[in-house]
Amino acid sequence: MINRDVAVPEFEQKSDVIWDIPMSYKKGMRVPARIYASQKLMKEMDLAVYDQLTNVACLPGIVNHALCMPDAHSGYGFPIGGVAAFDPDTGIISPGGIGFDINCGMRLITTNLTLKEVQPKIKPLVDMLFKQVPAGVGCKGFVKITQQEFKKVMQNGAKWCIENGYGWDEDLERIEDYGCIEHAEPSKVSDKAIGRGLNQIGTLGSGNHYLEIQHAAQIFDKKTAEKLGIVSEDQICIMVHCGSRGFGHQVATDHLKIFADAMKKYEITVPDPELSCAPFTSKEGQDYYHAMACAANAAFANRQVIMYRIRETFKHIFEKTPEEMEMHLVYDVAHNIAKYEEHKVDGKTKKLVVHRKGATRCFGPSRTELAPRFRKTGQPVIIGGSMETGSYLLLGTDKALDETFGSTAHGSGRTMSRTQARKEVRGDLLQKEMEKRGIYVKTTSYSGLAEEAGSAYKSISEVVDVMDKAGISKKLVKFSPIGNIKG
Amino acid sequence: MPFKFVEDIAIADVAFEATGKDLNELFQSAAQAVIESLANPKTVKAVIVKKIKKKEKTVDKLLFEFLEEIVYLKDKDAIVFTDVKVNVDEKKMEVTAMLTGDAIKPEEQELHQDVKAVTMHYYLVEKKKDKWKTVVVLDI
Repeated sequence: MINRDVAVPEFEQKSDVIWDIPMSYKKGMRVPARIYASQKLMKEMDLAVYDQLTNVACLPGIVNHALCMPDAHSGYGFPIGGVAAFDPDTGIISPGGIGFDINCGMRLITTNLTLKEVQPKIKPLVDMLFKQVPAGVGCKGFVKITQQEFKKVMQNGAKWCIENGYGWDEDLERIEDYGCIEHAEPSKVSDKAIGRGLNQIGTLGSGNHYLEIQHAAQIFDKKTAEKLGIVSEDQICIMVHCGSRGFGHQVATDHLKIFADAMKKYEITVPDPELSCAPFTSKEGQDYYHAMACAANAAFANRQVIMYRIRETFKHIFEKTPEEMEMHLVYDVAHNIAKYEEHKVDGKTKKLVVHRKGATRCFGPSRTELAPRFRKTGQPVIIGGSMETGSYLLLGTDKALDETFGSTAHGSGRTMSRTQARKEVRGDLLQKEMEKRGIYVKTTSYSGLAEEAGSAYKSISEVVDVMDKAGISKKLVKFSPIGNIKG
Repeated sequence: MPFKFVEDIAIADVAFEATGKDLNELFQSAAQAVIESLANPKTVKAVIVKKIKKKEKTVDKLLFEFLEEIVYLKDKDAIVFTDVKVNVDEKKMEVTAMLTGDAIKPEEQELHQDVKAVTMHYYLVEKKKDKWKTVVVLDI
């Protein structure tokens, strides 16, 4: 059903990796659509992406292009891998342009341990991490707080964690927006959302979320990688992929319903109910923006608490302090979010509401939002691959600011449905086969493991190469997995 | 059970089609699909009982709210389910359901996916030739 009734556009090829869909493709398009992809990735793209992307191009107040990253696949409303910026005065905000898992994101942590040191202890390490960082259906975390305290988490994000002993002061400058997004207003969040999220701080969840022990497999720019703490190709790092858990999911659910009625009120029509939206400046739009910021901050706190548990686990297994093991945060970045950011439009600097759904901010060195330590390198960007194929660390560029509102890809992108993956792969056999290849996996669900098989995803190297070739983000380090926890 | 998981609606998520000769059966089938998306019900004991009561103006909204409540209870109480008994009052547009299940215990239950949300994507509730049908996509 995914590809039904979608006319293949007549693309205007702008370069080897840029493909435009003109406004003539669909009635109502206010701007053209632009896809970043290689020939190979274009062939693999499911056709519904074109339909969804051109639907986004019809939304009020959209600026420049509706953009699509090379890891795109169809989602609901916006495609996953979609980026769209809206004029705050005439444009909208849409939960469908952010996703249910608000501030789903990536975190990368260094160690000074080598592959040789960690490999013999990978089983006890992963087994203990599996206990310390709960994963899977409805899992609860160890942080027990009151509703009142949870509101502080919503307002202060990762800062709350540092104040409560779950991290180091230096962590904050290594998180997008210092781990705390402005304009969070807990009064805009429902009791139901609080009920779902209160006990889930420090948990991974399931789906494609994971905690992975990796080693640097290839360093593309040694001098710059050293500045971020990655010094050799046998160095062990830890990557975390998760978001705002049930709390963020409920915030999105609550506001999608409100927006369905708001669209009638503001006489906005959209081609897909999951694109429901409201004017950014309307009460409904602002209420969602403030609630979304709460969920985004809860996600930063979630990943911060997970990092705290990772540091404690490494301390126990390797009998050294996290400081001795140089367990520094490289960066933490969101890939499901809307941000109020300044960008240049027709040569003039303007505030825009930038939606990134399965897309990562990748600011170049010129942006003052970055902590001083990143103003020479550009912002670190973490691209998570499938658990079999590895991941990448990239750097944002100033070219991205000119072309994509400072945005890039977020992962591999699925090519196979979950149901199909379950038919083709047996989770228990995959686990054994991966262990033979030196990747030790612990999971709460074999069916969930099968769904995340490497064969269900696009080639991450192909995705990353497109963004590198386009000059949107530059390749810095490739990582290979040796241990993985899956929900 | 009159529901089946559908492959080609949502690449990264789970979609199902449920049917029923009446609304009771439709709601029962759809709830069962959500329950099985979370865990294999045969591996979940019946030690906790949860009641759901919802009233809406239309049948599509009623089913949506009902399924969403199951997802909510999963997170709020950290439970998965083994069975559901549904009663729909079509005139009042009201559903009452009793769900049985247990606290999440990964060591003894076959857990599946942590459903994030019920979505409006391709959402459909229709009656054709005396048979009700729904299509639902769950965000994973």
